[in-house]
Amino acid sequence: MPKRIVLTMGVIGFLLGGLFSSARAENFPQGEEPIIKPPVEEQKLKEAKIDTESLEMGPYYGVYALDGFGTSGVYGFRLAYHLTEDVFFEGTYGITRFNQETFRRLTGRSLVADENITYWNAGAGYNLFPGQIFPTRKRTLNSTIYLLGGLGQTQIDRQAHFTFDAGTGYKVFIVDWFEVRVELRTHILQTDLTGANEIMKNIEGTAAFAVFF
Amino acid sequence: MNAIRRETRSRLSLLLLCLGPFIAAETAFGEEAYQKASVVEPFLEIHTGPGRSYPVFYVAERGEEILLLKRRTDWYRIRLSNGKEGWVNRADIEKTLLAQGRNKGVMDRIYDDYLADRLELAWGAGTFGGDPSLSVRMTYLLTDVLSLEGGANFVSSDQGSIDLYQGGIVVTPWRWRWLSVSATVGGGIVSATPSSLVVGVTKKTFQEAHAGIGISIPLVRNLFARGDFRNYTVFMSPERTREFQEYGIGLSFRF
Repeated sequence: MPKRIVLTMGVIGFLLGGLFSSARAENFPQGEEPIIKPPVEEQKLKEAKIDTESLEMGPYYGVYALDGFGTSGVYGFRLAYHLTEDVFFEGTYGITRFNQETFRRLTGRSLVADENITYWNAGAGYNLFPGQIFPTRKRTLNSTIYLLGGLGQTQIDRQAHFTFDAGTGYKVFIVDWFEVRVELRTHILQTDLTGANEIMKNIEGTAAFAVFF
Repeated sequence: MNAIRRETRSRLSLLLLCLGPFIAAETAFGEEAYQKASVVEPFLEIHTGPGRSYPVFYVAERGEEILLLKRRTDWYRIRLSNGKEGWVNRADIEKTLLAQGRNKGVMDRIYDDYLADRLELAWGAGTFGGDPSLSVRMTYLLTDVLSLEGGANFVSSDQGSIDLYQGGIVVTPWRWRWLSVSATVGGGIVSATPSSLVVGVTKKTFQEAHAGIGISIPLVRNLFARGDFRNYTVFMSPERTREFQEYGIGLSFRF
């Protein structure tokens, strides 16, 4: 029984509250000019004239470890398009070498006729941890840790192989249009180099700089 | 030692040479080149970087003059009259940007702007005759209905790899706000490189003709999701043709 009384009082209170608040709203003078009038000036602003920096490009250099074989230097070029502050799309093209020194020493013959390896991939990236670093007491630089994933092809011994790419990197902005970064990536592909189909996981570590334009 | 030092120096100067145009571009434009505005919002939070996680280091007041230096994604780099420079979010500065009289939401305006753009760049993945395929395509919109297209497919399989270079005409008769449907016809060349395990076959080039349908869904800003189906007829020899089907999904950008 007391429960019902509390409920009824609650409903009455709610209705009265509504009545008073609507009465208060009616008391507010309508149709009058607001006392404070913000000065809004007419401005001629042409957005198209503002320089847009959505593209980022630059070279990179590092090491590429061919799974099961030797490690070689790698160099390449990257182009990225930044869609939002979080998401970007990136394409890379890299050149490395098939290091078959060990294979040749052990077997006395070469495995591949063409030692050049080239790869390209296109994919998306996500700025996971944007933040700042403090190299000196007075200097603060923006930085970000990002994740990458993509698809592409790797050309080994003149043969193109479908390749998955995944990686992570760390980027530091020296100025807002120039950055340096280090990146670790794995290239996953299927090859028949040893006579049977097998999955290769090639690890690549690179250092790079890039400019925004 | 000297040789190393000399080499390092020459490399450094090469680097500076490469960066030169960018440094020059950064400093060449005077104050007049920038767009000026006075803050309409009650206050404007200025971040140290173009992202929400970079801290706010200064708050500008209504009426303060700002120079819009540049834009990156949703962020504007601005300079205040006291010389401070930082980044403001597009949503925070929207009223100031729209103070020129346009009464339209930011996202609407951006969407319409991109619909007016003519160049579309697409990238996708899928299958071609059952094997994994990657595609790159560029489309130029002649009219709202008619477009020209050029592109390439890269297919890898156990038997070898196929590179396909194609061109065609795209007709988009159905274009709604959230979906557009198109049909395409075209032709091109197919270059097949057999695997080293396949003995006795060398690299060959064939001609192809194709027809297909595709859909495109706007995701955010100038980004679209797309799906494609294409049927390729490859002319293996004057007497023999082979059919391949391509199913693909991907992303495209309007510029």
